[in-house]
Amino acid sequence: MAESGQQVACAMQTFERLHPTEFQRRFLAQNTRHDGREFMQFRPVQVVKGAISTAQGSATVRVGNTTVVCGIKAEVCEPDVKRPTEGYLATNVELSPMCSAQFRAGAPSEEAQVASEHVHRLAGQMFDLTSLCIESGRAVWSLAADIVCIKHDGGILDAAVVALVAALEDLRLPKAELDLGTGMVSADRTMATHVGVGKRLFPATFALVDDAYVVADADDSEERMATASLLVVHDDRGRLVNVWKRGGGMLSSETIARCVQRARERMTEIAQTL
Amino acid sequence: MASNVFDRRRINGPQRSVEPLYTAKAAEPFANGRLDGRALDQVRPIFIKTGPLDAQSPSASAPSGSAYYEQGKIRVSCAIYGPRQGRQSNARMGSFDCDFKYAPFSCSWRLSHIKSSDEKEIALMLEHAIGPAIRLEAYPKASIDAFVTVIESDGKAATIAAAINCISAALADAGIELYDSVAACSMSMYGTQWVSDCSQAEENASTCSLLVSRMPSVDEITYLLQHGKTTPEMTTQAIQACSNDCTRVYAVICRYLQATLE
Amino acid sequence: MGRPDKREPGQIRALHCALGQLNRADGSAQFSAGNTSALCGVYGPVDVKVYDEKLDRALVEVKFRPDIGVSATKDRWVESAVRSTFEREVLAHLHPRTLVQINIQLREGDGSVDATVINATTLALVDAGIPLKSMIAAASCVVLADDTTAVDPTQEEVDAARSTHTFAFSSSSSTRPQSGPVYVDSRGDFTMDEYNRCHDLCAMAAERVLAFMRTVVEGKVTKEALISTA
Repeated sequence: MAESGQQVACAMQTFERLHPTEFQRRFLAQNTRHDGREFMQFRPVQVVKGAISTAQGSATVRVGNTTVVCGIKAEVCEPDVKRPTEGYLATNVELSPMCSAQFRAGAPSEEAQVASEHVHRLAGQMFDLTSLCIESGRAVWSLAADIVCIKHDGGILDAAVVALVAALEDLRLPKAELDLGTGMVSADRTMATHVGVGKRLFPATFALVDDAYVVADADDSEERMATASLLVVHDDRGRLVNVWKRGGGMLSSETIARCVQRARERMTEIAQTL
Repeated sequence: MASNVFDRRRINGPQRSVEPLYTAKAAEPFANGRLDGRALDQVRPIFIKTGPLDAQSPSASAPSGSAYYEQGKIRVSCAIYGPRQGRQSNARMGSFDCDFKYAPFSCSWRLSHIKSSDEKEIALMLEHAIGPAIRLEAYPKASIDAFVTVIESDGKAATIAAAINCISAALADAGIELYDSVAACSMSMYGTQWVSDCSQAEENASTCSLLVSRMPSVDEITYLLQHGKTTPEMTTQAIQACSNDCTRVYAVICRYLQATLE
Repeated sequence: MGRPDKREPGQIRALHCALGQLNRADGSAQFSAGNTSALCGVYGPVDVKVYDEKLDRALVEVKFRPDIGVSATKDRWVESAVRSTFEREVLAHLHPRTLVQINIQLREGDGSVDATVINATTLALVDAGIPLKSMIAAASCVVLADDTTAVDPTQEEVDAARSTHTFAFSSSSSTRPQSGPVYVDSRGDFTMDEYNRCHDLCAMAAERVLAFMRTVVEGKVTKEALISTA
């Protein structure tokens, strides 16, 4: 009995490997998904803040199997002449060949660049750069937030945004003073304070799989057969920050409205873990 | 870091940024004993987990084996891809390649995104240290790739040793045929005293460091690296001490791997 | 409070389009809305590198160059937006193992850049004779601080806006009203009501852009017919 069960499992694995699209369709046609979730069900989120001592702020985020680590390094620099009180926040998403075989070593892939750019744009709407001011026109903090993907299993933007929010909340900057004579900035590690995020962002991704099924939080195998993806980002007051729909697949306005509604419910799920 | 290279494939910060001058003095290592209260020959506690990155379902893009390794503050993650189609279609032996990357936030100083020569050198070292343990003749025409990311480092030699141990565990998880698991350990010299498994602060204060990677059950050293100056007698003494540490680390890895089978 | 250039809130800027200006490309279009102007050249179907070859369809590649400065991640972002919009609009299965390359040069950016780039691409693809499922027209609008909306904003209005919205619609959606937008990028601080309002405004604006595109293409067809009879 056990042996035949094993054979079935083995046959299923072979089937999935050989016909991934057909494999997924069999589940979707039965109103379910290959990992047992319902169409509009998200994967659980896990957040661990401040695990990395070499970074001034850090967070590890898991969304299902997708794992990302965000670490923030703080340095000091001169501000831009046009914006004397604003610091810098550079966010980069690293999709290394370790996290999935679809990425190659070397320069960032287009996917990584687009993810970096999108997270950077969102960060600009969330984070108040003037909170990084040390001395107006002379010295500001420059933050390098690197989001390293450890395991890629779909929904990378969701994980990246949550990781960035968590790492910024964890960020503690030492008390810094500018010596006007020498122009040097001295910092006291013992007097570190939280900077805080302006507003928390809560992302949710939806995918149109196989031109017919709208699913929440698609994993890697579902993303591969997705014809459209929709990212909805709310802030903590429940207002929308970003609606981003890509791909040629058609999502009707009602479907988009339904997804936005579901994304609002996702807010509380994420807020609990932060 | 004095100047940041403008990289048009990434989001860039300002052109020039520096670390502030930290006023608080770091504690002096070895002023009275070790900073974390360990004995001089004591290795930091080890935590291993195999298969954190493995796929739940068969997928071409997931690794065939993986491991996460902690040793004190050091955190290393490794994924093994393969055996998969190699570059040389008529090779009689398989090839083993390593890729080593520090996460930009993993060291006490900020690192560039672009792969440094240091990282390339370490990747080569890992290939040399692990390569002899793999039965490459069992994988003709195939390639086995190990990708290592350092999430946090604490002591350069100790981080390389941790990477070797992590790859060993991941190779076992991937089911690659091995002669033996490789275990590695490092030591640094402070004064005339060898100290096991040094942290970054301890390593900075030391004059010499040594790394040994070894296959304990066949009693063969696969890689040996020594920096700094010392006498041949001292080196021999340290190789012996390091080998003993390797055996201890090996026991931890093996015990874990056996437990995963049960 | 009126708009800086005295337009009505729902009024788009004057459109201008010139097809086939690049004589080496298979098709090209220069599309301008007011000062914002983009030039798009299409090569295709052409040879593809073996590495990128798709066995069952043509590969659609997009290159975007900004008006000033070196190309950076924000340009990769635009490329990805344009590619995702057109990838399934091009009937790629008719030309397997080939490449359709879309090159876009922004000539001047004065607000509504993404929408103008998408419009230029549609016309360049038509000019190149690449088979398409439908024509895609895009429009953008902003919600200003005083809750008023303005279609086809200038850069000045974008900078002052609380949220910006870009929508692209397919020409087949007028026959199928249920089908939604092909591409959406809404960002800033907004509510679902504002989103819906902008969606409707942009849909109307895109309708006008589409009508303009039709006249442009009809002009091209009659001109070519005249040449062939002569």
